[in-house]
Amino acid sequence: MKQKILFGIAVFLLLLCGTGLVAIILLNHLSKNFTSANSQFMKEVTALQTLRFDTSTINVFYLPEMIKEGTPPPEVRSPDQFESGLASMKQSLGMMTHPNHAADRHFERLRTAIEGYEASYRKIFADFPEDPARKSLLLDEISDYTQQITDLSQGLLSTREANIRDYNAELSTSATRSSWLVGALMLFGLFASAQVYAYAKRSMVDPILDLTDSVRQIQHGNFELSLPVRRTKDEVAGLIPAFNEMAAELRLMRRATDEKLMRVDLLNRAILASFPHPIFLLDEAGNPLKMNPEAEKLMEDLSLLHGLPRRLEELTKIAIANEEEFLPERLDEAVLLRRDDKEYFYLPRIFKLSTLEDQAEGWVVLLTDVSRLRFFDDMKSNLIATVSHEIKTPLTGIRMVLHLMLEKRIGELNDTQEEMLSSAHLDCERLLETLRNLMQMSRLDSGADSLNLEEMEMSNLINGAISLFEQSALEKGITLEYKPAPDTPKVLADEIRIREVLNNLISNAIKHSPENSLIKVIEKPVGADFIRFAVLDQGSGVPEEAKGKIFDRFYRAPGQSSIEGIGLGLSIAREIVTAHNGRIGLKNGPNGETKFYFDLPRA
Amino acid sequence: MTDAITQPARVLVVDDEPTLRLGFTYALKTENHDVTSVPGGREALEQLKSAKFDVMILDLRMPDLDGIETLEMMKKKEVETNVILCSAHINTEAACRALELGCYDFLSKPVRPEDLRNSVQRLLHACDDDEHPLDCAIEMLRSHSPQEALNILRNQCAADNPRCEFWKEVSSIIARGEPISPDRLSPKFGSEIVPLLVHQESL
Repeated sequence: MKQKILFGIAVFLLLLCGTGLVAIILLNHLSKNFTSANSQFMKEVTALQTLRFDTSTINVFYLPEMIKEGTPPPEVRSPDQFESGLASMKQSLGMMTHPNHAADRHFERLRTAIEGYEASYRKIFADFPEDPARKSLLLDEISDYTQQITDLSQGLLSTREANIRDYNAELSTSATRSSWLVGALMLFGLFASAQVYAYAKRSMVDPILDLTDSVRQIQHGNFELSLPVRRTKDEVAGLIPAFNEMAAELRLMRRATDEKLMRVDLLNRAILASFPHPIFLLDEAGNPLKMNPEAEKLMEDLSLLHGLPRRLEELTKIAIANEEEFLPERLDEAVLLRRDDKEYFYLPRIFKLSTLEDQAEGWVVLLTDVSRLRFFDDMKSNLIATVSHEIKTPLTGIRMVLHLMLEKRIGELNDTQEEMLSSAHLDCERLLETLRNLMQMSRLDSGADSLNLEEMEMSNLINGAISLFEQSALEKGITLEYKPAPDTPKVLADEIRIREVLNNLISNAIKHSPENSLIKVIEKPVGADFIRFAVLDQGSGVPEEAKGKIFDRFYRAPGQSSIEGIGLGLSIAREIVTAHNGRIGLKNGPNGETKFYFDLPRA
Repeated sequence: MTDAITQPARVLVVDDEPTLRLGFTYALKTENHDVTSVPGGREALEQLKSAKFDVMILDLRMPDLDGIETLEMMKKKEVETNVILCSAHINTEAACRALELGCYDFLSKPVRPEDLRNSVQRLLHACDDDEHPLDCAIEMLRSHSPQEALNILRNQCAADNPRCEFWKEVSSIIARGEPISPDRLSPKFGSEIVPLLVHQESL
């Protein structure tokens, strides 16, 4: 590149120098020619004038004496004047002697005339005739020669002038030629410059522009281009293969990415198409945009042309209005749809479809067919209910009999018999308690039991629960503490159910408290809408891995002995509290206690 | 109450569960009652045809003829006996139907011998107005005097006691001769009316 730039500049320099040199030489030449021609001309003009002047001087000096008529014949003056005049004339003639004039006819005639003139005068000086005729002839001769000299001089002068004119014309032509030459050189220079510029542009600027353009195109995602490789060895040429390689690399990468994207897209489509659950895509306003084949089938079965089934539409409207996703999990929140005279339960999940954070681009309704789950759930509930009833009936008989025998009114018992019957009686009681829990749970599941909500103060209920457990607490040396907070607002609750929850939490606390410890029941408002009731015990707490599950049905914390029931108490408590639109949970107390709490809505 | 002078009474136990039948029988036999036990409603009706019983302890769920059906048959045949409906499965509908059929005593299984004896005892003895106004009101209902029952409840039963309120409502419905339906009781007392029916919560 540097070489190219140098080369380009050198060409310009050379051209400039060449043109300048030629112009100088031409001018020089012309000026020299002109000067020499001019000085020659001036010399010749001077010489001719001198010639004429000398002739005239000689004539004026000598002739008037000679012309005088009379006698004695005029005296011829001394030839000194003549000699000096003649010498001057010959010198002038010599001055005009120029190689070019050798062949000049006028010049030869002038010389002849001068020679004749000289000869005539010499005749006079030698022998001035007294005879007027001869004298007149001689004078005529002189006059004739003088005339000749004058004429010839004039002629020569004219010739010289013509010559010099010609020469000037020649010079002018030569100057014009020189101008043309310089002009041509300049044109050539221009042309050459244009060539050099074009070349430079082609070889240096264009590749860079091409490169810039290509980079820009790549920037816009067109990786399909490659630049023509050039044979030159400049820096740009070196860049091109590197650039092409880069483009090729990018091309490959993009192809790989495209392929991956396409595969993912295809996969997504395939998944959506073969997804066994109906999916509806809705716009922001909740109008259906797209649905998968399963959803289409559902719509067909429901004989719906457009729009979602009514119940779903309601749910969607609520979700969109509140900007809140609806993600139910409970089976009783499923929507019943009839397809081909068969009942199907679908759990509707309505969630926002967003590509950017918090920018809803639409909504998705995903229906999960939970019919079978519902069926099994119902079956399970029925099973629990049936089995519970079936077990409870004989159990009430057994319990009655055991009671009677332990009463000893129908007969005395020995110690072993009494111990055995007492143990059986305790088992029987526990079995009945378990059954009671199971049945209550199945009632809660079936939703048969609605809540009997009323405004109530919790302090009585809590005091009642505490007095209920006072005896069993005392046996372990546990103190139950409850200080009713003044002005605790009333809650909206079903007394019987909440008593169940309280009893459950307190009995759990006693069960898991070490001996001689303290159990506190506290109450306080949380937020504007809830009152929190908490039972704090100083037991070992709930193992970390169990924390998420202790409210689950049939879950029993690790290490818990089987004597303590089958793990329904907390799950029932949760069901009850949830039915109150409340919350139930587990936390660590301020002093490391285990804290079970439930929040109930204020009245 | 077991210490009270017990007049031996004829008691009919109707239950399909043999062990319970046995238990009931002996629980009452120790109180010197004359107990007959049968496994079903049909057999009970047979017994009622031939003999007179002071008290009948009737299970609700039984194969063939259940408790309510048995009560209906008894009403049809105009057999009058004081009935204690004893079941683990008393729901609001069954309770309402039983009340309509003139059964005002309920026992919820599981039952301890004491609960059974007390229930029977209440039926056999005249109540004490001052101490047990509710018992007396129910006694009035048994003897077809709903207005009397209503008066006792209005005058002597605490207004904030939900059981008093419940029986007031029942008495006034019976007094007006209207049908007792769950729709009328549920809104006021919720679905859990059994604890209000049962004299003493048994455990």
